[in-house]
Amino acid sequence: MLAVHRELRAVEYRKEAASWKMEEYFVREEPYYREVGNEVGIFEAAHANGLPVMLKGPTGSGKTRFVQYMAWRLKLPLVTVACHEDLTSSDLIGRYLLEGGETRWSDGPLTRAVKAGGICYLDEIVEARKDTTVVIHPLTDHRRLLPVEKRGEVIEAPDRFILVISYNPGYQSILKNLKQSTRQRFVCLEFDYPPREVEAEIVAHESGVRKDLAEELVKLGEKVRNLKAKGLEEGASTRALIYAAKLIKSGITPRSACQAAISNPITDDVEMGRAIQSVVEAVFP
Amino acid sequence: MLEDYKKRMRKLTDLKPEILGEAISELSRFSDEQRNALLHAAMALANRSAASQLLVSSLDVLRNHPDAFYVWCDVGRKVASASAVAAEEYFRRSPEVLNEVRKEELESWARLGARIAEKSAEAAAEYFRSSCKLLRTLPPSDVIRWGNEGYGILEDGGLASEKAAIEYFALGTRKSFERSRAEPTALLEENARVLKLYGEAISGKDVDIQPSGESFGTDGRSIYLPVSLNAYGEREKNFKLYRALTARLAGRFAYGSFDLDLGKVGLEARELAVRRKLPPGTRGTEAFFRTYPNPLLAKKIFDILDDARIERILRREYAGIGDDMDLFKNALVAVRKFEVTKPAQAILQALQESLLFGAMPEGIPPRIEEEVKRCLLACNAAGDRVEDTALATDRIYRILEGIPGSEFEFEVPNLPNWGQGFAGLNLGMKGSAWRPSREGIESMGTARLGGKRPTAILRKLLMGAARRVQTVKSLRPGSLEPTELRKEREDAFRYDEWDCDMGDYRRRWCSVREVKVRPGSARFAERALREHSALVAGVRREFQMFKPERLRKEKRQSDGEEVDIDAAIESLLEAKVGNPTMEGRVYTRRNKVQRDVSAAFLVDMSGSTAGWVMDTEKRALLIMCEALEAIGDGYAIYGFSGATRDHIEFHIIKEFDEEYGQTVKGRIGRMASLSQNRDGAAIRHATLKLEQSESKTKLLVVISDGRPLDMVPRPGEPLYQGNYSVQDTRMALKEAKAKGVRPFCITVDKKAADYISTMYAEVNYAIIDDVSKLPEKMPAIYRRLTT
Ligand SMILES: Nc1ncnc2c1ncn2[C@@H]1O[C@H](COP(=O)(O)OP(=O)(O)OP(=O)(O)O)[C@@H](O)[C@H]1O
Ligand SMILES: [Mg+2]
Repeated sequence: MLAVHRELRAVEYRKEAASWKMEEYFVREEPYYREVGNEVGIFEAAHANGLPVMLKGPTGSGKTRFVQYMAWRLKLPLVTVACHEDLTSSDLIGRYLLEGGETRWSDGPLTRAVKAGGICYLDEIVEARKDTTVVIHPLTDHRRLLPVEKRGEVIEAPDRFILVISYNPGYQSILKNLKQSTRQRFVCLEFDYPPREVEAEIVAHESGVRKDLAEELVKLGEKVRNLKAKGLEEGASTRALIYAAKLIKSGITPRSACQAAISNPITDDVEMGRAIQSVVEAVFP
Repeated sequence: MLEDYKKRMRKLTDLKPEILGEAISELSRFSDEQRNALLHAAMALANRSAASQLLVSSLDVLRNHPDAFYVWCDVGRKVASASAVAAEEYFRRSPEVLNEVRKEELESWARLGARIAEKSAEAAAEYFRSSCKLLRTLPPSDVIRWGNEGYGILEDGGLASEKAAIEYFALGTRKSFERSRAEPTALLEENARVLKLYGEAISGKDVDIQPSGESFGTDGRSIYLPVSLNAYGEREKNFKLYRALTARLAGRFAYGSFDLDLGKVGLEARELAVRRKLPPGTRGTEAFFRTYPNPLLAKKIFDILDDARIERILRREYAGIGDDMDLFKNALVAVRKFEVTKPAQAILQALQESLLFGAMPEGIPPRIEEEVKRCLLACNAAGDRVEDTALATDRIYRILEGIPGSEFEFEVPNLPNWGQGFAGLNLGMKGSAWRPSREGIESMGTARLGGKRPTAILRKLLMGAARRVQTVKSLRPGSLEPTELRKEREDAFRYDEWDCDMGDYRRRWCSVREVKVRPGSARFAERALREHSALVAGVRREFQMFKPERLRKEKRQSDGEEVDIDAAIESLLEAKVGNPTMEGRVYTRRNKVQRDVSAAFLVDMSGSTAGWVMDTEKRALLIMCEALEAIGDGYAIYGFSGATRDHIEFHIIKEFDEEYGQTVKGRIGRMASLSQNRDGAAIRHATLKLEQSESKTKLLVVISDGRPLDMVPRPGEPLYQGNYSVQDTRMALKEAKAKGVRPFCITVDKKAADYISTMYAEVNYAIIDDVSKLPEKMPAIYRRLTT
């Protein structure tokens, strides 16, 4: 298995923050990552130049895995925050805690990452409140500063620090969209489901199924992706294909495995589900 | 006689003479006697649309059920004298019913309808509508019994019983479905969406599924499938049979059957193109067929071979598709019948069977068998490309050509047509036999008419005429009478217009007048919604699904029902360290979350949208209405047209505070293509309307079909065209944005040229190159925009 990587929700973090040490954020074993384009090189160049990075792409297309891999490669601690609509700027930056009648300041994940000079990965940034996105602005231009309002401090980010955000344009909406002033502060890497060959390689590697079976799964994935925007919000992700592969590896028949891992989770629309299952039945005898 | 007929018909349908003339020539195959019977029925109709329906259906009936024609007219008259509405429904449904029942049964079916119509027109209309569906799955006697029961409800008298009866008849459809649950028949209606999606997944293209009696096929645009299948004793198997048909036909889209391009691949194909004297750059199959003395034969061969090619690829690509394909074959085996007629024909049929079943038909004469083997050899090496099919087609054509006496015998098709256009296979339906379907014959017989079926032509003529009549009428109030003009000036809204040459606005340049559209009948709307019922249901479900939850807890409020513990602690601590930033925002409040969206739809009603475009836009609007009702967003619908800057008409179809109901449906039905389109002014006025709404998100959806254009000249003033109109429209959209309105533009301009990117530079837009997709695309776009 992979090195333990703790993906944190800010809420959990709040409770346990005090007991976490920075070493725990290091990715110790090399995560499996199959480069699709030249994303590794670009990321390294961005890091070397102190530029923040935005990962854009559909769900399950390898964004998180890529960040883990880069953290390992660059030997940087990685702090991940899954953004949600209740996430406040204190959740990111820090707050005072009460300890036996004493108040004690506790850094938020962003502050920790800045201080330690690591990667701060804000996953699904659009989900966060608008005011949250504003606090990262001074960090993302040439100033590279993090204002900690509550303590009246400003922290200067070390060169090693890099801010990474992810963004899924599939949920494109005029209500939830990144402002141009935010977007254009980032170097943007586009993620999409990889080409057939590569995706099959990934599926086979992650699940341990044979390459030809992985190829069939990827073919299924491609067909299902044809239904995107025809009532399907997102196509079948690499992740979903891996799940199906793992079930098959454990002895479930391909048809049932795909139903459980692909047709069922992907939609609540009965007819859509039936159509997808029909494709499954066409691909797998 | 003909003159007299024409005159009466014209009165009847209120059409222009030349259009009617064309219609009459369509009717020329009627005998005098038949015309008379038709007229008698028609004269009972005061209602124009019922009369057109009568005209439309009469051809169908005459062609397909000549022996039932008089009875059909006669009962029609009876129904008509009771109610025109019911009669329209009768005329619409009866041709289909005639496929299911005998003449005598038609009579008792229709007479019962007439009796119901005497009591309630609406109930009768429902009766005709539903019973026609029921007849597909139930024996006529059962349907009549069902109808009589409904009539019993009516006999109780009173308003309540009429309502109950209407409901009863309307419900009949659903009940019949429930009944048929226990039965093995699979209905297209129930499976259309699943099949459409399945076809789209497989082909990666948009797929349109259309019902087509008992046959199946594709013409490169739609996939035609039988309305029901009961080849097997299990419903699931019949569904899989549908699936097999869909895969085969969608496969043609996926694997390029319609993109033949001989110049593109290999030497052999290029040689063929030269030999057939195909001009370089020619694409598509039609041109290729036409290079043969007998194009029909070429097409026939091509279709058989291409079907085999598709199956071969499908089986290879999809390891699990074999089961479905076998179901398909077994269904065919059950009904196949080998008829040896003329040699070339027999060879083709045997070839097709060999390709399908992998074996020669039994009892085939050795001479034929010999030739078939030659043909099989000729397509043996066939590859995966459609060009390979064309090469093999050529080889086989030449073999058949060499067979004496076979030159022209393919004028009449008596082979199942596998091809583009309508196929003619009868799959275990009533009276199963391997015989060409009506559509098959029709598509051949009308080859001269450019491939369209006469009924379709007639229907188009009549609809076109009706539309023109309507346009002429609705133009009248806008005519430039002086009194009108003065009045208009008073209650008009004035807007600036951007003059890009001046680099400045022309102040108060345009006057926009609001026109309240008079509601027409809701029939267009109801019919459209019925025709799109699957889409409507899907869209409604989809929109309901993303309706937000009622309440949401807002944290860190300065006031509210509960204390926000996290915030309270935080502020306490801050107070303690003497650096308060929370300022008492320590409560949670439950806020009703409304999707706070208001959307205005602004439709270009200029002359260029006449016909199909407008018709489709109206359908799309109706479906949007259904969707928006499901989600509960506020919305308004406006249209615009006019001529010159002084006469810009802003048609109100639905205001924000108006309910969606019969009136609005009626107004949508009345929308028509009028005159010019001065987009800028209309956008400015729609912006004003949106500004008055208090919603947080104000969306302006502009639907147009091309360049903004107002070509009615006024001396000394710039024409509203070219860069001038593009720049003004761009400005208007920019202004809207500045006022907090979010414009989104949908254009159905096929040639959506470069000007689009200038005009919509400031806003988001979508180009829909296939208008027919608009009803589907619009809700999808809206949804994407607002969730
Ligand atoms: N290029 C790749 N190399 C290796 N594994 C990959 C790659 N792309 C995808 N995967 C696999 O797909 C799975 C899902 O990817 P990941 O969790 O990184 O998706 P994500 O883009 O972060 O999705 P989400 O937006 O839902 O968080 C990973 O666990 C990994 O197994
Ligand atoms: Mg992720």
